[in-house]
Amino acid sequence: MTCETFQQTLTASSDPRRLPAELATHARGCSACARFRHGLLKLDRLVPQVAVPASPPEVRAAFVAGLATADLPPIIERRQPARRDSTGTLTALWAAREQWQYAAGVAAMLAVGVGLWWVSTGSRPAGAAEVSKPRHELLSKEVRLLAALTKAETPGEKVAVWSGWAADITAEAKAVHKVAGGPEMAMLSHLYARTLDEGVIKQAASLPPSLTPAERLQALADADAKLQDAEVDAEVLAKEAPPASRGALKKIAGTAKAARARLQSIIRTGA
Amino acid sequence: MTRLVLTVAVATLLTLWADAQTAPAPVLAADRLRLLHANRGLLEDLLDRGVKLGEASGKLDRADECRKALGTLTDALNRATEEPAFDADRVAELTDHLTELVQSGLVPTLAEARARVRAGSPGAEQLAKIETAATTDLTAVQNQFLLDPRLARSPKLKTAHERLRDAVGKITPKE
Repeated sequence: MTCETFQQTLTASSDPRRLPAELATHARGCSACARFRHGLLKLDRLVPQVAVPASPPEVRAAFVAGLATADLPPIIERRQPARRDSTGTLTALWAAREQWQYAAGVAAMLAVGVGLWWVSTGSRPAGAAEVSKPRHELLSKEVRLLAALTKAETPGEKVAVWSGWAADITAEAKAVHKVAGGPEMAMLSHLYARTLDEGVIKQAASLPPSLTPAERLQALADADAKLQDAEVDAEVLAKEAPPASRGALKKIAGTAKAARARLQSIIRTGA
Repeated sequence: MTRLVLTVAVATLLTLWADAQTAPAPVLAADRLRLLHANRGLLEDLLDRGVKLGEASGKLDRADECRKALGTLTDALNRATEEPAFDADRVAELTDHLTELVQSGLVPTLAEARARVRAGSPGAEQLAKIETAATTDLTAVQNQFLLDPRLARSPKLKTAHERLRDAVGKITPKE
């Protein structure tokens, strides 16, 4: 991943707040691209606030009058239908009898009818015939992470699982913050704090004391980066979020910040 | 002639579009919110179980904590089947989560524990207890699928039940 690719991809993205994994990895290791992203996020936030310049009433009136008197072509030009040549072809025969419209209608009805029959009969894979309601992504992820915890042997591996769990909760908060009420957002903020306190920090604090600061940094760098992302994202979202969600997003940002400080302390001192 | 071709082409495209509507649609924020509301208690309960699982040392303790996490999902499944407004999608979703946790969590953890315990040791006894308890709990879930006509009727629940049955069959290795 080059800086040029990163910046072009991010510029083309409809939502620069959401970084695919490959871009996120690059941003963590490249301060120039991280700054570029923060600049883009700021621009994204500020553009809707730019005021449209006011124009004097006489200028607007002159513009409208100019439109009224301008010699513009008609929007739709009516044309007489051309007389059809009634020799030879079947189309010409239908046209002559003014029945080709019926043929088109019958063909369209047949196409729709065949399509409906195809949809309603079992012409698709078994098990796909029933339309299913959407499933809860966060719940699915929690179940997968529980399975991952059964396999995690070391505190470092457990920190990685808990960091993913916490990131999934912030992703849920981001997805629903515009429609959620205060209680739902407060619940997500509460789950996030528990995931950090009882998962990430608890496991980070139980890293073997024999590890050097460099080894602890290596074990916790990814968790630290995820916390930083969560803090920045929640802060940015809180500024434009509906009032009901703002407090919880600020709390998530604050929790991530505090957990990050705690992780930095563990990296430096081991406790 | 042009109109005829266009009409047929548009009708064909409409038909293909209508067919594509059965594919899974992206989940809207409002749907996510509804699901979040429905699962708020379960999410917190599974977090509790995750904390315990993270603290468990040793394969046997982890297998036992995983079995308890399965119990949390089973409780949620039982509540879903007792709802007056029966929701087959919800029951199928929770059944699939049970299957996932049995397949990816319990079965491999038990297999690793089995490889480490000696026959006749206290570990072997604990292992047998975990296997029996997990199989008993999950067999009770499967019996519901056979006895409750609402569960037996739905094709999607039939598929979910078959997947769960296959996963439960792997808890105790065949002689």
